[in-house]
Amino acid sequence: MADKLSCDPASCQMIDRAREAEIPLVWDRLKAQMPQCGFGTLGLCCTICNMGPCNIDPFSDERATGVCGAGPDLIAARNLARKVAAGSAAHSDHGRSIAEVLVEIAEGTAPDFAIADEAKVKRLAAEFGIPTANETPAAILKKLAPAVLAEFGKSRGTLTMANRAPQRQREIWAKLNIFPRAIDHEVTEVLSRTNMGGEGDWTSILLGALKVALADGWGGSMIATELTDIIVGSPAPVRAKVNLGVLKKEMVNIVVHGHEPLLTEAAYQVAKSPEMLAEAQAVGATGINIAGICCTANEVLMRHGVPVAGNFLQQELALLTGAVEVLMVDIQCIMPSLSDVAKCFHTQIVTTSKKAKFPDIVKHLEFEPARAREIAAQIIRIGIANFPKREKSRVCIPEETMDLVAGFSAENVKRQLGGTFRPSYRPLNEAIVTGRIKGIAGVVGCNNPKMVHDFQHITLVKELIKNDILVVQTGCAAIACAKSGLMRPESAAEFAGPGLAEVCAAVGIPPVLHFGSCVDNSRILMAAIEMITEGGIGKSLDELPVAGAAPECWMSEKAIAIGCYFVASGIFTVVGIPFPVKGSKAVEELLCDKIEGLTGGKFAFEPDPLVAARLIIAHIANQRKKLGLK
Amino acid sequence: MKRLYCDLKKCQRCRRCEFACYLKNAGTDDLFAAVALAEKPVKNIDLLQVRDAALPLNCRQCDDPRCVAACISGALVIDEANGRVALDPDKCVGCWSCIMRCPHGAIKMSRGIASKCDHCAGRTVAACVDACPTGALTLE
Repeated sequence: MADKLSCDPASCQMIDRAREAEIPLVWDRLKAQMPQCGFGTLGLCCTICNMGPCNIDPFSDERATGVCGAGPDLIAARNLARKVAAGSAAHSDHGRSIAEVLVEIAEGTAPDFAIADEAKVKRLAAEFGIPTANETPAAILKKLAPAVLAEFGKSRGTLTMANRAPQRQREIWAKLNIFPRAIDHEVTEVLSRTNMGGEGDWTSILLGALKVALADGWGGSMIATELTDIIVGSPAPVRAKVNLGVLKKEMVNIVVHGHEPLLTEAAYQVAKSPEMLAEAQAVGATGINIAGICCTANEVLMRHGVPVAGNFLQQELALLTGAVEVLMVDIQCIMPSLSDVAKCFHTQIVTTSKKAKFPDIVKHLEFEPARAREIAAQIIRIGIANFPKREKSRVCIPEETMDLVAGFSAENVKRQLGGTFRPSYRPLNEAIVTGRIKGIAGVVGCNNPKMVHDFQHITLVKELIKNDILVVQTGCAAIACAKSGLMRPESAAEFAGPGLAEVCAAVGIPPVLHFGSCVDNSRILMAAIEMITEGGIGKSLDELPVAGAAPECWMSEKAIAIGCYFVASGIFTVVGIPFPVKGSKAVEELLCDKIEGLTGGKFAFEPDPLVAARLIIAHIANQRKKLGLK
Repeated sequence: MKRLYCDLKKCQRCRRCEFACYLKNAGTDDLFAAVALAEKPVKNIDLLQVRDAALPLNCRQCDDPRCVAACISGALVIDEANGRVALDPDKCVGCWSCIMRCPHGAIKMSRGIASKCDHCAGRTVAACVDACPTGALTLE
């Protein structure tokens, strides 16, 4: 029954609808795949060379090694390293795309975009050693944009933004030889080292995995976050709405899905224009409604309060409302099944990335920075033209929406806490020192149909805030908790422990802060650094009373990369669904135990959100004890 | 009397039948828990290479079972009710005579006594048949 699949009523309603209409969904396809391959699940399947494919029997000695002689530790480590490289590549390629557009903005060939945060241009320029005195932001950008883009392929040196990390983290990375160099170099090197007959020392391979993860967190993702702030604007707290009920019966619904937000930004701007409104009204709609799925949704939510229709597992469900005129997609987390679901309705899918084509899609309108608004207008017009084709009798939009406050970042939390004229993390740090807030948890990550949709996120976050732990969130996890009302300021009084509730009331924030998209996990690192600089709660990331959690992860390889860069940066991270390493006791032991002696962070694999909460609460209590805090 | 049959054209050598049997013998559906057990379960079905084909092999329920003839304790008998070759674990003394006599290598040592396929007595569908993703395995 639908309520065993999701704890979100809007989603359950659409799942039931799909059942009646006999439209297969992700859950049906998962059931058909069961039981899934034990070797794959355990990380004991190796397809790296054609002496295989090999697998290792975890229960007997029949096949203790692959044909080449690789044992379970090496096989599991190699597989994991490749997944981290893939996840890192995905985040980083997104960052590269934004950097390429920034170069075009600097050169004047992307007139639809401009510099939206001049202060950030100057700060970044200083970081890259570019002089800013007496220079206009435009002039600075001409030097800054290529310098940032060079981080992907430069032949010498280490990643510039990784120097933001505290000294202790940088020393650890240098000592372990995992201080990231050029982003593409790290990705390439992992693929190279894990070739057949490449590296045989599985510990060394795992360190390589940490290195490519760091190239993501302090590289590709951080670049994506900072540059998107420059182009689209740095976020500010904003009120918005989330869940399928944001789709409107009387409006042209354009659902955006994917990750790179620049065409989405252009669509948002174009949709507001009086001309577009008139065109929409001419076909009988009251206006154009842009709503999002997944990370691109989070990006425009953070800057403009654009409503969020849902997270990863709701992408098919949004189409099932029968009210989506256009689904505009770019890259990543897009299920190929969407074209089958769209065919059951009038919905037109439009693909927009040269890196992400889908078969059976009639409309591919590729994003070009030079013509962003023109292309966005074309896409919106497809939606307007499609509005009359809606089968009104088949429209079924769930009622559920929820209010939320989004738009928090490392910079503006500072202003929220300290006020406009004296922005400061002092109030937060003091709250932590006195114990009104025990610590901070970043609860992030994907959905996975192997778990009840959204349940783990909501349960974990409620338990943490009940125990006076401030929660920051990104990605699908943020959307999950937003749907259940945890991002309203009122939720502090309803769900938070007394200490956290007091601070939230004083400062005017919810107990759960939406920090943005998955690349914005870099914001969590940046906030942590600010807290260390403010002082009193630890001098390095591994000393802070903080933890990470990805309770419905992993689904995407990107999640493994994120987990690895948090742990490599010294942060205890609880993951709901184990990485594919359980076939190797040694690899699991390294990730969940011994790595703490190397980087100061470690993983725990725990599917039960209440047990995960206990682990985090205990960890934070222990960190406080080590700092001499009560 | 039923036997397990495999349509060799459909077998994809995925070994899900082996995993399902391991889990059934481990007494858990949880793969991670099974892998962590100190005492490893055995499987009563083995994917064998026979010339160019892969053949999942289990107890063939022989008409004239040599294991029953060899059994010194009366643990292995032909079940009158259904004609199956049945192993009573309480009677097995672990002499391994059956293992030596079985022409198919279908009997294993497990926790000090013999272990062989029992068609998942007590389940409506045999674990391997249930797990097979191509429907290659049937019990008929």
